[in-house]
Amino acid sequence: MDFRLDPEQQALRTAAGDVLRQHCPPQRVQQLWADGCRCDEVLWSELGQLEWFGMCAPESAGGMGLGLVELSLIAEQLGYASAVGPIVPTLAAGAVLGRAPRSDLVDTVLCELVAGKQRIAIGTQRQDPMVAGMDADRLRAQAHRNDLIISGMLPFAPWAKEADAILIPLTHPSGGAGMALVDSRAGGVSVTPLGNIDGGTDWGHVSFNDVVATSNAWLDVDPVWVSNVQAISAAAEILGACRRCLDISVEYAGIRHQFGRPIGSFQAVRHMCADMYVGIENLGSVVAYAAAALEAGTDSAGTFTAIAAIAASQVGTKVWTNALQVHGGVGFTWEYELHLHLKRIMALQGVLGSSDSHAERILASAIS
Amino acid sequence: MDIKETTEDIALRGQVRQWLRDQAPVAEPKTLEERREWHQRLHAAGFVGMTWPREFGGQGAGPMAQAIVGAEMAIANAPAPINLSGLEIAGPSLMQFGTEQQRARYLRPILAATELWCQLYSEPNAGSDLASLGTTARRDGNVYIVNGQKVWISEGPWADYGVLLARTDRNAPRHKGISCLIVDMRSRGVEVRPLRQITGSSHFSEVFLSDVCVPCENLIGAENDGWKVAMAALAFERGGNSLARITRYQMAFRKLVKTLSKLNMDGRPMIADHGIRHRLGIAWAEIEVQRITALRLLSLAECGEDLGGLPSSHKLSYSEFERRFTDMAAEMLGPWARLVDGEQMSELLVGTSSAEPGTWAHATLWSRAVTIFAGTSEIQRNIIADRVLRLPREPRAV
Repeated sequence: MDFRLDPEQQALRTAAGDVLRQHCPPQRVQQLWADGCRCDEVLWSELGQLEWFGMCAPESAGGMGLGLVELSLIAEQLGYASAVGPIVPTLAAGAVLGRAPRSDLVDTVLCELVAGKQRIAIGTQRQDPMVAGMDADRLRAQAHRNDLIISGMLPFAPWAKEADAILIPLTHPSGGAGMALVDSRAGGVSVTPLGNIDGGTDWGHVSFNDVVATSNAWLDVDPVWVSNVQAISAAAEILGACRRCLDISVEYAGIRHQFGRPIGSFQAVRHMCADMYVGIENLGSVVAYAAAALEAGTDSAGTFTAIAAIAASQVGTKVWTNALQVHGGVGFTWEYELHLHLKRIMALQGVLGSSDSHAERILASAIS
Repeated sequence: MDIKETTEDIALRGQVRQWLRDQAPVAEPKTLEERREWHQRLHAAGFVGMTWPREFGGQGAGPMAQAIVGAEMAIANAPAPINLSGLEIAGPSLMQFGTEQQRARYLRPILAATELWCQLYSEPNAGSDLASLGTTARRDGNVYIVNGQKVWISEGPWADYGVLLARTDRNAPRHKGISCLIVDMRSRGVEVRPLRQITGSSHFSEVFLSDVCVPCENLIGAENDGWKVAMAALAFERGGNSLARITRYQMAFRKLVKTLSKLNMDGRPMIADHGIRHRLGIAWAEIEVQRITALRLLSLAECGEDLGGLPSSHKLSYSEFERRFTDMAAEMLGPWARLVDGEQMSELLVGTSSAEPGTWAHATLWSRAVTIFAGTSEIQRNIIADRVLRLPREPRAV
């Protein structure tokens, strides 16, 4: 067992942090929020030039073929910077498409994805609980000559509106569980925005009204694996946002003076910061472990993903709450950066889904 | 990054499991001699002091090997070795700071538990603020004359030797006037009084030292350099065997699930209740968070990495979890969590994280010891705030 990052992983993490510090400072994110912009085009094209997008795509498609540990390291840095745009799902889509059997469609999309010309959203149906009524209109597909006709509703899909294509869980007409890659501008696809608290992300629910897709749009990839990848990435983003919350809290506690001394010298404040650190250390261990387990394809990877999801949700709440408390009134103002991070954490907790369902999954594996 | 267990670790796990299946005592050893005999069997099998260098009777193994043995012993519910103060405090201190003669004289008997040790650090007025200790050691020719009182001493009643912290220079700044000495507990002037703990057992004692003569050759490290020795020893105490403790949480969890399958609420087994299942699932997730962090700590220690604030963070995390965990069980079990024996239901004998047998009531009390010993939760938070986060220091009374 070796929990150390190898030198390449270490270098990747550092490089990603450097790029984002330069191109995605908090003032930039604040401006994007103010402009109502849900994708930072400048950052996107910068990352495209640096060939980030093919990071998890297979080498045969011009990507770097990196794994889920690397994906989580990048997601963590994006979370730290509170970057705006469907960067994490597009990176993850590289891994998903790389896992699918090759086809013209997969090759074309991967090629564009690597070049930074495809933004991809990932929708899952795990995000319980469903709004009443949506349940009845589950996604389904019919075969029609060489095409698939897709109907139904995806109740929750982050980034659906910004994306060029959406990966959705879809059972093949012949019965196999898999994913489908649907052009988000195809006829019959309509995205209704779901306004959420994080002004740097975009959520929607998507309805599919007899959408025609070519038969190779269906991908033989386990949708449970995809939702695990999505959960690990979200947990890693939360980890990054938590680190940022702690860093700015420690900095603020060092400069803010009350009663004639820095508030960071009061034990009550110091201990809040220490508790944030403990949560972050724990979450860091679990996210790395779950990503490595999922990458290695171990049987219990799903359980570790659920554990990481619960840890991210618990630690996330603890950290942003303490960060806000340390900052006091300043933290509650729109112009200060803390709200970017705490809202990112809140939104990502939504992406992780209901912790009740994770808890049941974990218990079932613990007592089996 | 590689989370696979090495083949050596897997082989060791299998070997320990098999050995325990064949050798573990059926009944909990009661007397000191029974416990010593069990310790010596563990020692003969090579399961004690594995990380010690070969020249001192160990195997020069990494911390993971010893942790695997600890975890397997927890799974088998095997009694722990004795002489923990010797193994975890005195031994490592002597290895790092002791003289050739001291190492040759004391280390092997520690491993074999032919000589038992205790740690004479805390005092009635020096707990968290250990550096304010008032016990004195006055040089008089070839001996130090020691006077003072020590408290919360584990293993005191049967210890042969103690590692003592005493003030040798009253005029130096508080951290710089302390020395570390080996005290023969049978010396004239040493009086040990057992202290009964809230769990009912007497692991603790008070030690009174009145004009005790300690030969100068019993000094560990340099005179007035004892603080350094003590801090290194505390680091050993915090880092080590959390995996065994966390494995005991897992064992207790399984017994809790069994109990909840036998107890009914509103006419159906409690384990079928959604609210209970949710809390159990979250609790198992939290146990796994502790376990994975323990593995990370061991892996980093094994690779010789700087552990930074991780030992403090980990100790704080598992000890605070342990409180929540025992409280959760109590909320679920109602009166059944407050019994003191397992006569009604053997699953109620969950054991405690201290490895002492007991029920949920004892486990709950013991969980409150863990947030106090080896540096309270508040001290761990201070360590993190000072050394990791580098927050402004608290003003201190001079």
